[in-house]
Amino acid sequence: MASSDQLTREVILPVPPEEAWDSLTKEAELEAWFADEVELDPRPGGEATFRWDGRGSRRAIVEEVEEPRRFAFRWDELPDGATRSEGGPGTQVVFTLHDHPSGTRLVVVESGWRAAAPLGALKAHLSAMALA
Amino acid sequence: MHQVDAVFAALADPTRRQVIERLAAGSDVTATQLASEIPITRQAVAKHLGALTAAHLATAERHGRETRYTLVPDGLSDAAGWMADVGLRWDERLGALQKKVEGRRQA
Repeated sequence: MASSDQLTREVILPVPPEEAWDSLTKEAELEAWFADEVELDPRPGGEATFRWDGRGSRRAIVEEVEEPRRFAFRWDELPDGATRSEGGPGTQVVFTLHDHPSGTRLVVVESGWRAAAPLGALKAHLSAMALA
Repeated sequence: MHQVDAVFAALADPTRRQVIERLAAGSDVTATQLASEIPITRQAVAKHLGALTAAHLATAERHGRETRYTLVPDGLSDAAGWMADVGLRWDERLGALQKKVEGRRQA
């Protein structure tokens, strides 16, 4: 059972951060890996809409843009008809781009999961009970 | 609305998160006990407990004159499942990104 407030994943890309940056912030590039259709205004406060074939869509608001090192957005609150599996409700996604001998180490952290603290308390409680 | 959506909607309020954390950490509790532990009125506690019960995060049982509230873990488990699903989606996306970038380099 997850009790952390954050999901973290990373990948090594064989291009420098300046190039990897385009994959995160240009609509045509995002459509090759993130979603089937992307509309994105990559400026703080900019709106994003992501659509997946047969699965619905989600919206997000861009929060941080520090080319080519940091790009962050916040998912919407999951209105009816939106696709759940793509992200949390109101969670923040932060991409950071780090130098790596092979090119770029891209790290993504999705945080602000509201069930995290209750899940942590439940896990601790169940562990304590198991030891009783 | 999908059940787990109701869970996250219920957890959107920070006071309700506090209440659920309290239920998750210990045994059952009455509205009066909660009102003495959390700095809000007993009416507000009752309202929040109603929302949590409606989202199937808690159940209410009458014991004589008092109503005791207990956590229902299933909703939180569903929420954990959602987080795990999103983790898998990130694995898929980053794999696709890596493949795309590597493919372009070789072109």
